[in-house]
Amino acid sequence: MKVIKRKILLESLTSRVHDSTWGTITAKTINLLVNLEQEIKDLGMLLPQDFIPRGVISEDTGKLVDYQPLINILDANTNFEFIKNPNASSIPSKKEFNYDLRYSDTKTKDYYQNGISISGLTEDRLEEVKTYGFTGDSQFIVGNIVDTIGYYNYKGDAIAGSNLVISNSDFNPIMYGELVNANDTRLDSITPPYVSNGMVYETFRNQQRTVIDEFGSEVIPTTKVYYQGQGMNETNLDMSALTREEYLLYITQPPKVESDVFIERGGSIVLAQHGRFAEINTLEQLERYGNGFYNINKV
Amino acid sequence: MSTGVYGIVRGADVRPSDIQIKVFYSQNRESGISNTFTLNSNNLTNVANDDLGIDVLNGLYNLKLPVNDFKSKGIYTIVIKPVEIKATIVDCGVLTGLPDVKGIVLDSADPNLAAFTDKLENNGLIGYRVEFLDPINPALKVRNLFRIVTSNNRVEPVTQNLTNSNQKAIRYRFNDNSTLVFCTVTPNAPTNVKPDVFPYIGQPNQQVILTHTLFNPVTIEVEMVEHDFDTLAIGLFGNQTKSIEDGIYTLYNFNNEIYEQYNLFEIKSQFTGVPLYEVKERRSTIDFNKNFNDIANV
Repeated sequence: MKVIKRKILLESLTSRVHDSTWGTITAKTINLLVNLEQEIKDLGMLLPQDFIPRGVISEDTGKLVDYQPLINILDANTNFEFIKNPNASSIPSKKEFNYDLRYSDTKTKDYYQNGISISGLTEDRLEEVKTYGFTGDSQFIVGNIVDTIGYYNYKGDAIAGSNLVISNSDFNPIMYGELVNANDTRLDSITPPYVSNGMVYETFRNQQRTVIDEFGSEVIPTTKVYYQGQGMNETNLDMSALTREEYLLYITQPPKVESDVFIERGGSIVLAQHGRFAEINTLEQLERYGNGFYNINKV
Repeated sequence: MSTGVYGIVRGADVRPSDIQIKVFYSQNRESGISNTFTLNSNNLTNVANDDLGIDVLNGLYNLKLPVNDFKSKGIYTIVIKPVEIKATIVDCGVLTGLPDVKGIVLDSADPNLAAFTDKLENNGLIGYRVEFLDPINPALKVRNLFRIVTSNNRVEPVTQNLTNSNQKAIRYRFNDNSTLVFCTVTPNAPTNVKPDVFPYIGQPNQQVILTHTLFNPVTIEVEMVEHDFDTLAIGLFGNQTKSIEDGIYTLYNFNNEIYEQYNLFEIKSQFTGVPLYEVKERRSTIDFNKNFNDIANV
């Protein structure tokens, strides 16, 4: 951090006018010019480095891994008994695990954390809970499981994922679940903890909000989503050590060859406009887009 | 993965609202900090760039110090640093389209972020530094650990099939209508050397401090002093008068205004009348009749 040192004379702020202000500080402000700079240095990418236990033959060197030189150095100053002797009783005790540190007697699963209940606003997913054979509001039948998809969650638990309408207060709100366990006791909970698997939505037909997308502003019904985050688990946590390779310093991503063939969808091909048609989701978007390419007659 | 551009050393053009100014006062070098206060960042304004006719000359700022806050003799240490945003990680996850890109999820509806909603728009946090608070005791900071935000986008959660299995997991996909913000940070992506390894980027419910990197912090040490060469020069080279009748000795600054006044007198022995001391005593009340111009024009 840059340090600037300045001395300011109080006399320069003091009145010497021959009246009652004489000797008092009458200046209002002191002005200093300061130079602010922005500096970014990114050291580049990190590489994971596997820990090789003592007594294992290293694939790189083909030799038995021996940390004795390191132990000797450490032992010169203090007693690292737990390194020398795996059965030593002097293993450091701890209750909580710092993610930036590796402890000698812990496994990755010791660092697992449960996810917390999360809520937010999003778009409605009412399409997923419509029952076929009905029209209008009657498509949303409370308790009727529209679809069931079996899957295993990240813990490996078998879940019968169901899409269903949980409750409906004349669409203010209508509560529905996607890929939830229909027997979940927290199915209709809008206070934490939320449903354990899948997501629960609440859509309010009479409450709307304005959102902005690439087509401009749009008014959509307010939809709240409730779900349980997955926290840190075997699918997203690994505690391998990270290292920097000197030759990769200041390189944030290695050069990569994309072997996939990418074909640009040209604007001149016959089906281009029709292809783009598939990306339109609402009637308002259709009107805005269509007026450039299609003649829309309002009747 | 990054969607931003890394910069070099440049003059900053950061807004006052992105700046926090802390002031620490101590009376002298011996005593510790006796007063701490925050100075309104609007006191730091850009100097205009007249050459280009624009309002910003990159890097140069005028810092106004209100004299009411800086009128005591002593040392004021002023720290100009980026404003810090305290937020909570609601989840750590991956994108549906890029399952190898891990990120942290913030909720823009968090009341703590109410003043920073503009920063939470897509890619508004690029370059921000993420520092972590202790998950157990948020009053403690995890020292020497930080990540840099490389992109942020509004996302919604979806339940998605995992590759090559019938497992499903919550993933995030871009949706600007959501309140959740997915931030990729560096390092966040596994390398191609070991593609199943993710670096640590935080954990759900952990509090973090978001700080922009738009300028380097600066410390200014302002020492308020009563005397320097200017005041010594008044004593040496300024005009002076000595009133013979009442013994008032007056020093004038270079504008011929009264700088100091002293009483000059002798102390004599009450028994012998022999002078013992000549005394110069600083006057607490000023005799403005000793105006230099009036005296010199007599």
